[in-house]
Amino acid sequence: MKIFEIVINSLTIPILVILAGIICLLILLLLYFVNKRQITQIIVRRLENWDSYKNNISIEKSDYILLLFGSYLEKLSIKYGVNLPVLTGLDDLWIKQVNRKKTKKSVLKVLKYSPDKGLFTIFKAALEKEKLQTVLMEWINKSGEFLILRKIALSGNGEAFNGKTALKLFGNDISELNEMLGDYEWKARFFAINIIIHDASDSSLSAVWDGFNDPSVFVRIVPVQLLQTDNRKKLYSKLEYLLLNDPSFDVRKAAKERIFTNLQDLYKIIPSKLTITQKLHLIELMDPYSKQDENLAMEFLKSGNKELELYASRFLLKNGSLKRLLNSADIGYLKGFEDIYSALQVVVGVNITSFIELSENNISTGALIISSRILLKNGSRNIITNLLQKSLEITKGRENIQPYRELYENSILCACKRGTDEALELLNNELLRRRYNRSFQEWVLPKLPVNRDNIFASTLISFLKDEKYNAYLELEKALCRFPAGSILTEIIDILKSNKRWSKSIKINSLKVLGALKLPHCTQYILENLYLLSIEEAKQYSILLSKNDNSAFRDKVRTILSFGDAISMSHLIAALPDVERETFLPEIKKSLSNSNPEVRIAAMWSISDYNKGELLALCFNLLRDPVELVREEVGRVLGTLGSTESIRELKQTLFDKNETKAVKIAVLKGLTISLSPEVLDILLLKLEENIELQDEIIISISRKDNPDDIKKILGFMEKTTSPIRAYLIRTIKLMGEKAELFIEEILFKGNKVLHKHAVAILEENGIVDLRIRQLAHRDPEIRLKAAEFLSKAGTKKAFRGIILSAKDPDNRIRVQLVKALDQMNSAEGLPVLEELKNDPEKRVRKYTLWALERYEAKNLV
Amino acid sequence: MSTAYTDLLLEAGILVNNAISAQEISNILIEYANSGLNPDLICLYQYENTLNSDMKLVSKRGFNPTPEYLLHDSELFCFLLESQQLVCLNTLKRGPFEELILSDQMQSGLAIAINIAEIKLSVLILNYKQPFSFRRNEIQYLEDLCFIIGKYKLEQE
Repeated sequence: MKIFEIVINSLTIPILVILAGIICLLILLLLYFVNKRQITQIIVRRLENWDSYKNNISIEKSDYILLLFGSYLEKLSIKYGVNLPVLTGLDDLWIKQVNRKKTKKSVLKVLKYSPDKGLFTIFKAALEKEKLQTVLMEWINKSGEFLILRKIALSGNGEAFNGKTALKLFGNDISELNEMLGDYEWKARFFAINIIIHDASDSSLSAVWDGFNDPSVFVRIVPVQLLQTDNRKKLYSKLEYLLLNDPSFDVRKAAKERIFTNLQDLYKIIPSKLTITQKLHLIELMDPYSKQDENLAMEFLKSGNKELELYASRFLLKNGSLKRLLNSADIGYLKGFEDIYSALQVVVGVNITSFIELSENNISTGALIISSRILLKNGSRNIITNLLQKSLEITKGRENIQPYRELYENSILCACKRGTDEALELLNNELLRRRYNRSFQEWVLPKLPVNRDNIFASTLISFLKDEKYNAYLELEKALCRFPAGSILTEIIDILKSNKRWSKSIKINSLKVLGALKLPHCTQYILENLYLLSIEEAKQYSILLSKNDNSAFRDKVRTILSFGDAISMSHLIAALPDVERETFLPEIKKSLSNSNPEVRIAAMWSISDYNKGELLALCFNLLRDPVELVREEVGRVLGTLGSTESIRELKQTLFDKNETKAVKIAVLKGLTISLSPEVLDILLLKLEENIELQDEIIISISRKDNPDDIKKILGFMEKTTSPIRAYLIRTIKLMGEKAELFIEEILFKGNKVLHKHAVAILEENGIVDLRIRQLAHRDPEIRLKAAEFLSKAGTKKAFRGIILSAKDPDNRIRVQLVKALDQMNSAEGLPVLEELKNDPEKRVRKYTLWALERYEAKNLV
Repeated sequence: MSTAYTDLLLEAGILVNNAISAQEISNILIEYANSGLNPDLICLYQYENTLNSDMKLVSKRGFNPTPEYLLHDSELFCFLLESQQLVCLNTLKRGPFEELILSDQMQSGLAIAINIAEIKLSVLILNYKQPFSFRRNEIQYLEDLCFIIGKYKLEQE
């Protein structure tokens, strides 16, 4: 080793370099020979086992090695008589070289060993390098091949080439090229037309025109792009046809480009005259920067054809028109706003919604409103968060003012229906912000998504604990829609706490607990039933009926036997029908309980049976010493409305030995009863005219439905004056509800009741109202008022209507004349004399009519 | 109103209640108008077939010649239908109601439109040879008679 170092160190640098070069050369030589030996061995082995290798002699050497040993392989080919360059794939490398370097050497090699494969590449190279043209033409001449041009064409893949130069090469073969246009191979036709198109002869030109109808896309496209002719109209006509009808997009596109490059002045397509398919083709090629095309697409949106709408929408989406359109929506111009919305609805109808983004800062209110309408059903859910965020900002403080109200409500609905958790969190914050706005809470609570208790449950529970909160009914329903597990613990904690929560909060919590209808919460409900009124406790019977088990009965029995008045009364009232039978003895016993509340509850409970024996027990309570109990009995029996109960009430009412207090209780029952026979009983009692007239009048006045009022008016016709006076009082008490019917009496000309009807209307101020209406700006209202006063025919009405002698509407003056005729009074004569000269002929005619009648009626 | 008129109205009401045709009711109207008001001429005009045509004379008491048709565009006719009121003319005078006098010898008259049994629109005209031949009671009687007859509805028709 040391000797080697000494030798190295003793050598100068140039000698070292020379030595290194020699070593490298030796290595390369070594490698060359090794590779040559390997290649020879492989080829020999493959050739020996020719059949098993099936014409495939893969040498598995790099391209560089193959090219290096190209000449050697040629020698071997001659030696063994096989085309080794083709079998080893060397020809492909030569073709690449022709394509890249365009050397004569590689061209000759390709022509010698693989002309079928490389002819087109050589042809293309020859078009670019003149030297190669000679080589190619010599080869063609020597080859003696028939249809050599076709061979060239088919050796390629239909690539484009310079046809003009090719024409110089094959200018003498035009006829062969023309024939090639009839070849069944499109590559041949493509090759030929690419050359012929540069030939000016008539036959070539004619052949090129036919190229527009070629079945191959590639062939059709050549004349579209390259045909030069003086006949511009014919060219335009061909291009227009292809633009509208060609099934290939490439051809249509080329046709349009050609038209707009060379023939724009001839462009005259009228969209309205096109078929649907032609329109679709046209839309596909519209220019995104052309306003004309944009307008046309907007027109297509109104076509009513879904396919056309889709194409137009896609175009408008791509060129950004839809987004611009959305942002231009202005709520200040309602018609324009609705037009934009209609157009965008069409777009949404074909499932194009991505124009709604709402990510920019300055989005108009109109755009937000339209987006909110669309996002209710369509569009990306993620955008709803942006929508809600922006809507809440814009509408803050104007939530109830249109059009902000629509935006506000739609955005919230979008969040509820399709919003992400992020959007729902925003909504939750809004819920908290407007927690004391009752109408908002009542509106929004039913819309909260039930599967998002993780977001809303704690908020709603906080409302339940808030005494100032005022939308409890909807809150209760909303809480019940959530899974019970998310709220139950909190509710039970409220009920169990002693003083932390107020009674009203506990009541509301109990109602929620009851509404949840959970069988395992019966004990909590029963123990807290005292919080509710008896009426409310009654509503829990449905819930309790589901808890039919011995444990439930034990709980009820324990409470009933304990004797706590409040608990007893509430529990009795709330007992379900199926359980009441079980506890009937206890309930009957409770009818004589010292506490009136318990007696009332027991009575309500028994009344539901509606059985004679049990009802009799209730009737006994009509004589209860406590007025409240008597009144409740009346209400119970009235509510029942059964034949037995009404008959019993009637008997009691007409019983001469019954006390006034009991009869008042009966009247209260009859008042609330909906039974149709009750009114007859009351009218009969009124006609008896012995007692309780004031109470009866009040009872009758509550019967103010149309059928009852008609019945009362009918009764008025037949009855005596004192009773009629009572009934007039009754009708006055009914107020507005009866006024319509009274006016009807006037207009139907009921002579019996006319006087009373007028009296009622005068007393109720209706006559005064109609007199005031004579000065109303609306002539129809004035006319109706005049007709009314004319029919009324009282002094007061006369004094009122006389004011309308100067009314500009002749119909009203005619009514005045009729009223004066009705009055038949000398006071009206001066007015009639004046109206004799009225400018309106119709008025004068009526005046003459009235004067004649006045004269006749007052003849002595 | 006098008792005599009340009795006549009562009788007319009973007869109308038993009537079975519009023709019968028309006869009752003519009869009771005639016996209650004693005119010198009484005529009942009715539509023949269609509305908007002239009305034809269908019934008459009195010898004086009268027009066969009441023209549908005459002022009197239009006023009667529009106002649904009784029109009277105390003396012979020019004006919108002069057509009410059907004959030269007549001086005063009454006219009223009535929908007999709610199905047959008719116009009843009474004429007198003397002016001022009717007063309040006569007018009231005729109005009430027409009210009774107009309210009645035939079951058969």
